Amino acid sequence: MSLETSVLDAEPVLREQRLKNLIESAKQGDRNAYQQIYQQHVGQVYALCFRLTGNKENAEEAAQEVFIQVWQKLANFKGDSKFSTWLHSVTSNVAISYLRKQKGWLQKMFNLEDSSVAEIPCEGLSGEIDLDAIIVRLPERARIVFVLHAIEGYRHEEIAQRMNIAVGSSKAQFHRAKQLMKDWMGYE
Amino acid sequence: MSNDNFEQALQDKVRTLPKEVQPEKDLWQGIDIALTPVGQHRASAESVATSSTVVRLFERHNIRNLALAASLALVAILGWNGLQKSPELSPSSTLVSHMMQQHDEQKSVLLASLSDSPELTDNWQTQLLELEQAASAIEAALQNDPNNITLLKMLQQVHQQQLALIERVHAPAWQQI
Repeated sequence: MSLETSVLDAEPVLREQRLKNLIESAKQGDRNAYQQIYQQHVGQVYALCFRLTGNKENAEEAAQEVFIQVWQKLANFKGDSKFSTWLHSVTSNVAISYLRKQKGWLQKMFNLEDSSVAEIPCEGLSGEIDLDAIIVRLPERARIVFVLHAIEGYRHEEIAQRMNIAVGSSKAQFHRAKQLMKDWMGYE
Repeated sequence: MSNDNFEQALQDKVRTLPKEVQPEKDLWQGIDIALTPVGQHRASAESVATSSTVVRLFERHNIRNLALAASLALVAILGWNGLQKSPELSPSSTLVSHMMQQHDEQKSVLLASLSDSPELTDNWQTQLLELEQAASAIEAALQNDPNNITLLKMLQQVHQQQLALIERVHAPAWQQI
């Protein structure tokens, strides 16, 4: 094994060890360590929040709430799973909870329907179909189920539990999402 | 195009989706303020000050639990700002100005209307001063980040706390039960 290969092999291990150290420091109240954790993971958290909430403003707010809650729950992270996996789980819970609260008062005020579909172009600058642009067009429930199942790999049973809906509803919303996307992507 | 083609195309699209997307603005400042421990004052070189009172209030009342009335007020102010275009100020800085102006007016009216009522505690003006300092700290932070929704909500919450404090200390004794 060459020296170069050994270094390449060691890099992920070292990165993981550095993250562990940062997490331990953050658990002790080290805000600078937590800021480094934030910087390393904000892209992952924001991407999921954006896809789940469907717009930038809500995604920014939900992502901030994720990092506030993660700081408060950091002691619960024992390292049994990868930090990114745990963070992912917290993010999806916080974003769904955020949407539920948002929907609560918005619906009271404007009587919004879940079936509304935004009119946003689905093609990016290159003329290629932009999947993110299609995802944010989806109605809320269909969007959440699609993101969690097709992109994040959650099972319908897990999604149903997180969203407090029946497993059948989760499957139906996934089907609905795909039918809409099929139409928007120009498939019969 | 067939269903199989669609499934394949969709899978390809999902596979190539970016795992990370960076937000357009720095979210850390709002998080940092929310995490500041009770009793700890911090001030950066850019005068982004915060106050323990802000954080105590923030921790005591989750920002998501703002009353519907408060949300309505915020929406109303946003709507008003949409109509009142200013060539010099951004919508967000206009919003902060409106919030501060409206709050000052409400507080003056409230203090005037309760000036004859007996005060139930001696130290309420100290508490009010703490809340005013907290509001000033948030306003300073908003100057650097005028679009920060979390800071705007915190400012709104501190304003509400001030009005609630004034009302509470002047409320008749029978209402205190």
